[in-house]
Amino acid sequence: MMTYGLLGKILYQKRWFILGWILGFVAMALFMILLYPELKASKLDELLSGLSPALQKVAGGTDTFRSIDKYIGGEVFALRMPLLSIIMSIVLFVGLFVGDEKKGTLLTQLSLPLSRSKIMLTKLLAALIILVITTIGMYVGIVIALALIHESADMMMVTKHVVGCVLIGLDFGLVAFSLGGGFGLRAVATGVATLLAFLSYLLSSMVAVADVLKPYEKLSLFHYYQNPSPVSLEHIGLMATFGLVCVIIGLLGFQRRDVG
Amino acid sequence: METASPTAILSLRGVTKRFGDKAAVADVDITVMSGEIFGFLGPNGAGKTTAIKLILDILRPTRGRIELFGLSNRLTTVTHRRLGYLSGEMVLDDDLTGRQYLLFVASSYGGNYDERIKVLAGQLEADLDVRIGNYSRGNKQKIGLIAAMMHQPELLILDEPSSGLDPLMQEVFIKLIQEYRAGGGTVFMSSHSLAEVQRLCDRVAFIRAGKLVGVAKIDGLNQTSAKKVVVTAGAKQLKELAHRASILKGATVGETSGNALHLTYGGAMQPLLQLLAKYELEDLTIREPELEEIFMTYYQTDDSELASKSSGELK
Repeated sequence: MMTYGLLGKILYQKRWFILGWILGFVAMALFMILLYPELKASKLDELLSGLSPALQKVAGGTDTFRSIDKYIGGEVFALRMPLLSIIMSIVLFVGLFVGDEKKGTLLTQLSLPLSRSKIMLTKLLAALIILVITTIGMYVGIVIALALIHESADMMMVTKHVVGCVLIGLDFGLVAFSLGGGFGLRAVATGVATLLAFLSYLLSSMVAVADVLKPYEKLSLFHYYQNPSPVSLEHIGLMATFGLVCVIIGLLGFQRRDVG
Repeated sequence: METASPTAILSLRGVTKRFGDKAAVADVDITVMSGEIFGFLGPNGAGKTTAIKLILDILRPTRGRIELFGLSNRLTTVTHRRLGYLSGEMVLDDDLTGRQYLLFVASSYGGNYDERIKVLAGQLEADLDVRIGNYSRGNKQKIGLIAAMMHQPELLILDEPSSGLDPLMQEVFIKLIQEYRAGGGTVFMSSHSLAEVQRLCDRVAFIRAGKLVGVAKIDGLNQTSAKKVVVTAGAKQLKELAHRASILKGATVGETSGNALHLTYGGAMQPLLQLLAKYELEDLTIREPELEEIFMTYYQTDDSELASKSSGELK
């Protein structure tokens, strides 16, 4: 059974982190959606229709600005929200698993009657709870902004976007977890996870204009996140499986290695 | 009333830990019996903290076996419930108050220890409602000590525990440990302070460069903790002084290097000072022996023998 004490302690210690990121997501959602009426009025869609299909795809498509639902999918959740989610997730996982070890508090925890797997699984659960809680910010920002611009969107669609966003952030966070927590590769955990995220996005965004990249597009997590958009159930399963593999690798690594 | 015979609470058998080519701990054999306070001595970098981390399953041994309460030390959920740990370099959660941290520790032990926390905090004069990040090092140690003892463990593992404590608190700490042992507890304690070990411990192991030099009862050790005396004078005076010092009770005359005579002296000070006062000395040094010197004297071992000496316990 998970130790409530450790879970409660982590959530309490991360309370300002949670609040800060909720506000961050609220601000991003508000900012992006409040821009919609202006962008719609500027007839950007007509400008984009004059570009080649490949460049139209890079820009998010010609009909992105024609409806609020497409705008939310094509602009809000195409890059900006998942980018924030990825940054938050990597920072969170590195802090929980690598940061504790670097500070020395992990050694103290290991001296208590808490097994290694309990510690890791409790921290994973805490990270998941934090990720889910902070996505409230996305919803709140979108709802407020829609009310302010007198628009309404398909909230089921928004939910699917949010789920996809959480998943892609979680996946890259778990890469940091498996390297840092599982193998003690503290210095590289953040760097590798960030680099993977960047390369993954670059691959997915450039494949529309560079045919040579097409054979590799399925190597990118963004491919599963964006195709289709919002993410399909099948791709949710694939992304969840990727995350699970990272968890297993990290847990097995941590069970075997020296700490500190 | 028949008392229970002591049992092995902690045992290390042939424990070795290598980091690359370097053996931080090599072939260490130690058994700690119930009810004793066992000191683990050595200079900085000797391997004391590495050995403790191996016991706590924070590090994994390259070779050998460690048992706590007769069980593999890998069973941390079971074994750690029966022990308490305090390190002089312990890192606590800076953003929690002392009380919050202790409540977290209490929940991991699965009990309500409010009363016990209150008693220990009173004895140590610890203010629990301050953020740990704002504590001095000594106050952090107090919190760590309360965390280690609140659940009345069967075994206390202490890694240089009085580090950071002021002299008054060191006395409180010593009293707490003595009371704990009187209540049936067992202590495994690493230190580089002979004075601390001499006051508390029943037996002592000495480790150097990862190797166990030996294990001795503290009484035997105290008998060999003679002072080191170095006398600097003219050559003719030194020759005569060496002869006269050799017949003093408790004196062992060592080498004469240049114009310095080295003595080991475990007798009363007055006869030695009276003898030295008869000579025109250029310099005089009297110091407590280093821990290693005590063990070397005890085992009559020099450096060249240490390299090949296997660890063993003096019966």
